Amino acid sequence: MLTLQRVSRNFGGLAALNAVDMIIPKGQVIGLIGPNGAGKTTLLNCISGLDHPTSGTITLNNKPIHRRGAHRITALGMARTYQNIRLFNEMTALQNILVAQHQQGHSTLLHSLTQWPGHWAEEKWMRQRAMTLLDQLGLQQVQHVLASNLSYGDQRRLEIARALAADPQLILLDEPTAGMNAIETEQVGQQILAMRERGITVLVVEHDMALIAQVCDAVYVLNFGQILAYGTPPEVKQNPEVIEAYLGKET
Amino acid sequence: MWGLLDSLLQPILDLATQLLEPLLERLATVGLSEPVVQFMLMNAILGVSIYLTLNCGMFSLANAGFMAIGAYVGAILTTQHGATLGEALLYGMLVAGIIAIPVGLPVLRLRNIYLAIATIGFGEIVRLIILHFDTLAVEFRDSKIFGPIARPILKLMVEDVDARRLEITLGARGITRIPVYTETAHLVVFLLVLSYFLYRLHHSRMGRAMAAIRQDERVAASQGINVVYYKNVAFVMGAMLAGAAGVFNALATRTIEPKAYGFDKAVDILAYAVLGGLGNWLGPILGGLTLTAIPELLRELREYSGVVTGVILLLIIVYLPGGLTSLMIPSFWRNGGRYEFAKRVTTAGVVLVGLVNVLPYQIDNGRILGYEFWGLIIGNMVIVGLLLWVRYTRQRQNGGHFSLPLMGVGITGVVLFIALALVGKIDHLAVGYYVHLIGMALVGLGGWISYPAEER
Amino acid sequence: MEILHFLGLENANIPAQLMNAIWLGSLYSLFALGYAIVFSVLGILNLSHSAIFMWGAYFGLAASCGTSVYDGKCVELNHALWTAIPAAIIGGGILAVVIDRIAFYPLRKRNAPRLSQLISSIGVAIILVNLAQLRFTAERKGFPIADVPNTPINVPNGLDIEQPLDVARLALALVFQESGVSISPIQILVIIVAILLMVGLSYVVARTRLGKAMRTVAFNARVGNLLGINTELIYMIAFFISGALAGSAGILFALARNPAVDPFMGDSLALKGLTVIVLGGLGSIRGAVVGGFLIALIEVYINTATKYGYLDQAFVFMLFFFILLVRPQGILGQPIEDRA
Repeated sequence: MLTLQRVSRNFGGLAALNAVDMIIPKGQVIGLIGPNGAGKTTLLNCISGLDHPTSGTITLNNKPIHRRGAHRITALGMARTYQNIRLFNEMTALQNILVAQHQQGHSTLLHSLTQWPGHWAEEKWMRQRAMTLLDQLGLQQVQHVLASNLSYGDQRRLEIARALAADPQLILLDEPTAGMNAIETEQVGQQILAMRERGITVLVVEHDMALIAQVCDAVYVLNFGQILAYGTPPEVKQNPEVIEAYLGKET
Repeated sequence: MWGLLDSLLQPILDLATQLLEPLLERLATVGLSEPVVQFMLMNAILGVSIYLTLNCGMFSLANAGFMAIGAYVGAILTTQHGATLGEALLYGMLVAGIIAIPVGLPVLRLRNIYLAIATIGFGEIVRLIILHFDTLAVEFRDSKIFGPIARPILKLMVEDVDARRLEITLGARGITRIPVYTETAHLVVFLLVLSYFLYRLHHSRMGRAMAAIRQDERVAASQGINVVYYKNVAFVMGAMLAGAAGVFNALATRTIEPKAYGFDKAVDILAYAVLGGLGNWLGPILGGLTLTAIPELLRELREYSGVVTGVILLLIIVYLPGGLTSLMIPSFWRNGGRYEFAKRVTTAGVVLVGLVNVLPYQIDNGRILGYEFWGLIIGNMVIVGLLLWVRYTRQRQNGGHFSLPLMGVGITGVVLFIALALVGKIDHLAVGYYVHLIGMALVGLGGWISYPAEER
Repeated sequence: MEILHFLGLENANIPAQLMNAIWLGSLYSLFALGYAIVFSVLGILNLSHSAIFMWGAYFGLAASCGTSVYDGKCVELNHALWTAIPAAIIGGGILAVVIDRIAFYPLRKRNAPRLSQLISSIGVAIILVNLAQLRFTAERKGFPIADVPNTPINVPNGLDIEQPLDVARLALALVFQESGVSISPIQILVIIVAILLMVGLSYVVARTRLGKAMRTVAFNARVGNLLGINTELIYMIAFFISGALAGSAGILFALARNPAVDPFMGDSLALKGLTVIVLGGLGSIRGAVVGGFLIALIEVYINTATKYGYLDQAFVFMLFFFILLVRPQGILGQPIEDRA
């Protein structure tokens, strides 16, 4: 589904990513772990088009995407969430979802000005779809609350709902459970598994190893911008290099 | 086609004229004559034109330049070709919009301050080109390379292209004897149509995309929104509106000169939008109307209209960042809380009292701002006390103990003032006296608002 | 000579025009430096800078002419001419600090977006220009013509060697008369004051503890706070320096172009100063100086070598536009950071 070949990203002289190779097969949940500053968010930015790799290729369904703008990548069926929550704070929860359905709608300003019948149908359909999504993530109570006034957990859930609203085939989750308690984390795990049920491929960056073990089919370990290890969660857990990267070298 | 549109519009315009007549008469009695009302409406359109770009996260100050383009297109078409208002409007908007495309494509890659100053530069270039257009036109006509391109374009603007000197924009003197076609009804109908357009825009897919771009451009892009496209669309729409305002302006004033569309105008346009508030499309309309009307209403203050504009701009941006409309929107109460609102009301009161007392200027033999000794003493005491209060109180969730003193100060001030006037210690019951009263009443109101609701 | 012909300069008096560009450039640099300091330390564009420039000229005028400037023209000097310069510098500095407290401090405290600070500075500019108009009327004022040594030095006739100024004049005349340069003592003063202030400033910024603190705060105000730097004090000093530079530029302009003081004298320079700092790189102090001289050179060139002298401003703005599009960080500026 998604293939990265020798992807590098330099900031000035600093190599944030160094020849990263990655394959994310269709329909699987793949984890991406690594110590802080390993380049995980940079990698996600490169994949989602917010940043562009200095060299290397990224293909989504065999289409090269590493030079495309973010909106054109979204059109190919990719969506993401952010580590530091980035909702549209001046909009309500519902409006956040409606914005994310941009690619699903087709009505133009002209349709809206003339009150074209199709325009109403589309708006209604969008709203219904948005409500279903909010419902799935337990946000129907707060649909009219401004995003900035939502609780922390609700904001994280709204981010996931917003990513799902774009109807993606591939979803990138950047630390979806950061700052959540055990019960909330468990719920997010259920959500991820539900996504897989529906055939959505997931790439999840996470620190919580329990969640990784619960949901991931395979895990990549990133350290200093390079792939350190790849395998199923139990394999990776036992890998001495990974343990060293996390805990430091034993003397 | 044109005739059909005309016959459709004419009855509406006639109706509007009839309906407006009594209103205009009424407004004239308070000092807002018909030309003033026309300017208010034009400035409302200009406010919307900058709002369209600001609403899409672009801080562009190019609107005065596009207004100039519209004004000159309108003036040339009507004076040289005998165009009607409708034709002038159509071409003025088109030309402004078409020029906006090649300007917008490179410029809109810039952000924030960089965009602001680039668009200031654009405005200056437009003004200077218009100023020297006649000389430049001759240069281009006689040049070997550009001649063949320039000739047909110039032919549209002037009858005799081969004259030794071309007189098109007439430099600093400007174009004179422009027919007066703009009627108040035209402007009102245009603004109503515009309001409908804005209302629909806000509830459309495009409007939501623009709002998303304003709030977080990069996230908007990764929600599948084509940021570059929508930014350019908003920029062009803003330019067309500014062009329309320019056409109306040219066809209302008889004379136009490049000086009127410089940096000062760009700033004025910004002030309309900021004063009204950017949270809502009503804001810039309200701002344009109010800021144009204020100097006319305070006729005695007309000399100070510049200072008043500056002070309003400063106060709004510092104390009421959401503009006038934020006062009407409930979310203001939710977000800022009652305390913040009370603080602002009180500050407004203090500022009013302060203006009356601190401004040393005496207008009209001291009858406007000046009054007797007693007023000065009380006023200054109120100011000092309240400035201390504003300085030393911190935010509290539920009003708290200063509500009562504040109400006390306000009520005492009002009562004392009225009493002094009744006794005759204050001779001149001029505007200053009333401003003073309103200011102190606002102070008291601030106290009342900040008083905890459960005890009220 | 081929090159001169190509550039259209074969008839120009190059040393004289160069001198012109130098003194004009000193003035532009001085003005733009103030812009640049506030931008580099606070990250805001203070559009009221040109109004401070204008008020600086009025402060200077009032200091040496006394209160007579309020109502009418300045007929004779009350105090020595030189008092105008410190008055303009100090007055401009204080005015800038007051502006900061009124228009920027509340916004800074609220963490308002940078653009609101731009708007509030525009508000201040409007107020200051209009207040000047109310106080001094729109009429153009200046120092008594006879008191300002504004005549170009050509031949040293009637020199009084006892006077230090005349010694300088004699020396300059001997140096310059051969090359046909004509320069007035005031223009020399402009160059000297500008160089002194620029050298002093770069010393302060580069070498002193204050300069270090300023650079730290410019880099990151929070880091500055953590290191125990009183950021508000640094801001105040930055504004004072910026205002002082604007004021000095104002009074020097007023002296060199005497009579030149009116409420709108800053208008043309406001946008030119903006061009200068954009050209040099927003927030770069060296860039402001380089940009100032560059703009002056371009203007002088267009005016002497081409027949498009009337378009010099348009050329400057087109250059400005072009630089912004191609290299928004300016000639000497650092690349703009764009974080995710």
